[in-house]
Amino acid sequence: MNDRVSMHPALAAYRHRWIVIARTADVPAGHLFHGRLLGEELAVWRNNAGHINVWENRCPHRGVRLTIGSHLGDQLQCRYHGWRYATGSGGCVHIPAHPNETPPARIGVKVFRALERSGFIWASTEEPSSEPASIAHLPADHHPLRSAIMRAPAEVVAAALLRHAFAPAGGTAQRIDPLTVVVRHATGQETLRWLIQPSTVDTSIVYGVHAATVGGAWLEAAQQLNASLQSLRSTIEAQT
Amino acid sequence: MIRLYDYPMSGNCYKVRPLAAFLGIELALIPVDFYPGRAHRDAAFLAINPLGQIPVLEDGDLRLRDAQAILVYLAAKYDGTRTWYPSHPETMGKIGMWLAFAERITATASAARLHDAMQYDFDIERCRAEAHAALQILDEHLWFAEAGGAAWIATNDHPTIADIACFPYIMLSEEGGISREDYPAIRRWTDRVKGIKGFITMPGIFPR
Repeated sequence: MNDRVSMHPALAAYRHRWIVIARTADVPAGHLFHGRLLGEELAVWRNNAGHINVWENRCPHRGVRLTIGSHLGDQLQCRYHGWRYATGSGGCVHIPAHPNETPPARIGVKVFRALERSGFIWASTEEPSSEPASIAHLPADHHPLRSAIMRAPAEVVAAALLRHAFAPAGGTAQRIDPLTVVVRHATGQETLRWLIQPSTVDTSIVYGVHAATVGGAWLEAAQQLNASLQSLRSTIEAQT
Repeated sequence: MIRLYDYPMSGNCYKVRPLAAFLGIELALIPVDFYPGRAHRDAAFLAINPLGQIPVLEDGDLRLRDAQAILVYLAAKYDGTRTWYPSHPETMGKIGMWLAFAERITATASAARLHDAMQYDFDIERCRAEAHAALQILDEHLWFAEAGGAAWIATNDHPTIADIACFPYIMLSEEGGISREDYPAIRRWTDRVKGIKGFITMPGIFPR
């Protein structure tokens, strides 16, 4: 699909997977979110109706990052020469240097498959094999945690999360797919879920989902888990 | 008229210009040839600021150096609503804390930019590492502020001079080789700053 750079073999294993690339709250209306998936830089944005676009972060004209451009509602405009691209298709719809001509249909931004579900945005670099269990079985009532960026391969991060667990006394941690670790209470009830985004071959982002706690205790729990996750990050980064 | 000793490419001088715009204050800009002229180290300018730094503000008989001090003065004197520098002890304490943090961003991210763009002799790897450490602290602060319903660094609903002081050298960080890719909460906040009514830019900082 991408003929400019061949994907690293360690990342190629994930290319048919739906992978979390952001929280819903990371991409508010009007924001151009700079992300990264399997080494590809992403420009993630919503149109006026809230539809999510996951595009390659690169204007096909001169290669400038689209995330420094302008959000025009249903189009994204490159900062450099003002070329505009349409929501959905990524097709070029306006070239200021030729204001009276319709841009050729072949000009467009590379568009990735995307879906938004359960408070997260997911993308896939190739045709995904199926909707993964990590989306379908997210606890209905949950809170997203602050994500942590770790300078380590996804495989190392997943193994460390499984080992470290963050499990309550008597609880268990299980890796339900290569990029998802689920933590359960001794009763079997899910308390935590870690979703791993392989950004590059040696950088991963960990998103946490915390099953809802009673009352206002969530923010306090989120702060504690953030501190634990940052501490795990230091440990992992010191070893890699 | 209030006079500002100014250099268009300086993030510290830029801090003063948007606040003045938000408050409807007209500034007489006195250009200082910071680079390549190094006019801020001339005897004439050292008589104005012995530290040899810009910006300097003059309002009547008052002469102030240091961008943060200038923000405090302008907001306290010319903002009748006291939203930019609220006279509430806790908020004033928080603002003071983040004004000092802005100085840390200057010492790290701005230093990296001076190294890359204006050939300053700094330990660039150290500047960048310390800038990232500061950005990590702010990103975490802003994430939990958002989670608790606060849109700004020191306040919930209205931006303050703490937001203005921290903004420029974060927004210019890439000119010193410091990516903001790892700081999503900071990136959302920079969008909010750019969305303030009357926001003005400087070279290297784009409008929303």
